Amino acid sequence: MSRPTEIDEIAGLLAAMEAAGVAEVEIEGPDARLHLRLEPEGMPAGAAQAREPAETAPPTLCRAPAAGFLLLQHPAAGRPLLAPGAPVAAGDTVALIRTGLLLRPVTAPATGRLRWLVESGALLGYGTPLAEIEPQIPH
Amino acid sequence: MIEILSDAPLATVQDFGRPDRRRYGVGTSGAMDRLALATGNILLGNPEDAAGIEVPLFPFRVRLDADLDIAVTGADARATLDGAPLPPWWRIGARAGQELELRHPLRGARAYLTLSGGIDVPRVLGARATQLRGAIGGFEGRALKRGDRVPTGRIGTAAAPLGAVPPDAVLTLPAPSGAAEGDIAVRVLPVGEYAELTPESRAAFWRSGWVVTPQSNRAGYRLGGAVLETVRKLEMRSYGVVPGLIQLPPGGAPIIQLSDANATGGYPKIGTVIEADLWRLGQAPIGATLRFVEVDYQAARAAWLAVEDYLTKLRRHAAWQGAAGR
Amino acid sequence: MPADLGLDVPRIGLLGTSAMLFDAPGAFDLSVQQRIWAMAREAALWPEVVEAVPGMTNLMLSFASPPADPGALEERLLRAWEASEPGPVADSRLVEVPVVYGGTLGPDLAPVAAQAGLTPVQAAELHAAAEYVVYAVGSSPGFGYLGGLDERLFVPRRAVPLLRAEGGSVMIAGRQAGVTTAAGPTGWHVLGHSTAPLFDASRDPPALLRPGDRVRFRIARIEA
Repeated sequence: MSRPTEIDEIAGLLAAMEAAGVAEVEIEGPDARLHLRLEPEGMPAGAAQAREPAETAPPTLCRAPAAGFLLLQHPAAGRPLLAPGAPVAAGDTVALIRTGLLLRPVTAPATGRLRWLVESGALLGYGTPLAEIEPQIPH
Repeated sequence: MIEILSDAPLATVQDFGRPDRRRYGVGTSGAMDRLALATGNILLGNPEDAAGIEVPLFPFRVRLDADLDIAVTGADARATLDGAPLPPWWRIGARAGQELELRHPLRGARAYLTLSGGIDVPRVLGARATQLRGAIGGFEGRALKRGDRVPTGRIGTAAAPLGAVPPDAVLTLPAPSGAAEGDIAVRVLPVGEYAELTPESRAAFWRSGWVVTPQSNRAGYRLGGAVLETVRKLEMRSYGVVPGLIQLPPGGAPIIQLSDANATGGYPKIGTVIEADLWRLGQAPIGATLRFVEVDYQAARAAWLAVEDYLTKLRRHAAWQGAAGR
Repeated sequence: MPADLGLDVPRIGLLGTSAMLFDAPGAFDLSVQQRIWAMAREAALWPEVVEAVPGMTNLMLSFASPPADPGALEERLLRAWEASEPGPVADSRLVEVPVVYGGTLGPDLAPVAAQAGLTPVQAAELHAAAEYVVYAVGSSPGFGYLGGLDERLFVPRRAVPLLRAEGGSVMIAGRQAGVTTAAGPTGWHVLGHSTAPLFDASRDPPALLRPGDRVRFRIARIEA
């Protein structure tokens, strides 16, 4: 199993790339070379317009904070974390990722309406998009 | 350092207690739900038996006087940190000045607050657990009260929020026949003078729902239900008592000896709630109905191994994920 | 009188997954208890044993984890019993305990005396005349179960427990005597009170009395 620190560094790089709108990065080290490329399908339709003025803001991707299974409610709770259709605020916990016996919160990166991209119980990799949030300016 | 803001009746500092001082008349004490205490400590990267605060009555409010990683486990006390709700079985890095509130749980009985580095009161006779009778250990040998400033072991690491899959989602027990919704099943090994029970009493022991009466506390649970009888009236010679031991006093109402039980006792004994299920007793509130499920030693041992397996896995997952601090 | 277990042969059984209890056969007497002390000294050294706790003609062993083979442990206990010999403890000490008999802290001196057909002063003197042996320590911190009570003072445990006996209570029940160190409810009869430092949690070991020690009560005062 890869050491978590290496995977985290790579995921951090990927997040930085996406935020900057950069599609490809190559890094050379003393005994290894790392080439990261964000495939076009992996980028949301709105990201290509990130630097252009837009009439509506593009949806923001919500990504798995760790590899594991997607849980829409806490094992000890009787109901889901999110009421279906309810708006989310940036920072809300919208789901959990279960990795073994550990649970990590999935936090909404933006305010708006959430649309799930995967199903409850799905096994996700680190950084996998699991939902997108249509930003909405709160009235 | 944390400051107790609420009255905190019966809240005590507890660790795993004193397993080896019975021969001096000092009982074990320690957390009634050791599994919850251990889980909180594992999430924090503490030694598993670091001292925490056992909270049996609510609301319970504390203010952190330093940046501390905290975990709340056990009964879901609907904890809030500066008003923001925390999931159950959860750890988070908290900051100086923040206030944590635990509220009356809708299920279960006792919540456990653990903190980075553990509660740092002196060890007495090898442990930090509080024994109220005898005023041994803990915070000044007593339950906590408003205004107490309780020292903690180390400053927090601004730990990222992280939860544990609760033990009762993993260590499931089938409901025994005749049990009602909400009844708490615990496995019991017949011991000692079990064979002295009348046949009717033996049947009633396994069939009855046993109510945890209001005369129950950390020393033991007095049970209400059937009245049990032995074939002959017995005078016992005092013997060493362990948590979970079920005794039958002359009145016929069984008592389950628990964490603060006397080191030795003299009533006839008829069964022991297995060690692997003591945490279930710790989470049975006053008024709950218990059901005894008969097991043999091998099944009891297998149950103990299953609990150890849960903790081993949690420890491994937490270490592997570099949980402490991330 | 209720039945004593009255065993002809030793009885050994599990008390759960973390403890085992050995009950010695025969009468409740000092030679049996001395063998229990010998067994405890030996069993305390066994690697799986966390503690060996002598009771009254019984011995409880506690474990850190459930033994894989409890039968083998039972065998070992039985052999330890068979090999054990009665005899006093090598480093036995005589401990003197001064007592104020009767009064508000000795509410049962008068009723116990009456039941024995004695005056309170006679009952106090009879209690203080004996040399007691510490059979075991347990029940509450530093509480020594003492054998050697004069049989004229044998009274069954209270039918209704006393809600609160203060720490330092000098008590009797059945054929046993003892002194508490902390307040609590009791089914015993409280004859008087002592301030002897029988328990100190900051000492290790914290209990003053040890199995095999001898105790004499000294009459400081009788408040009849």
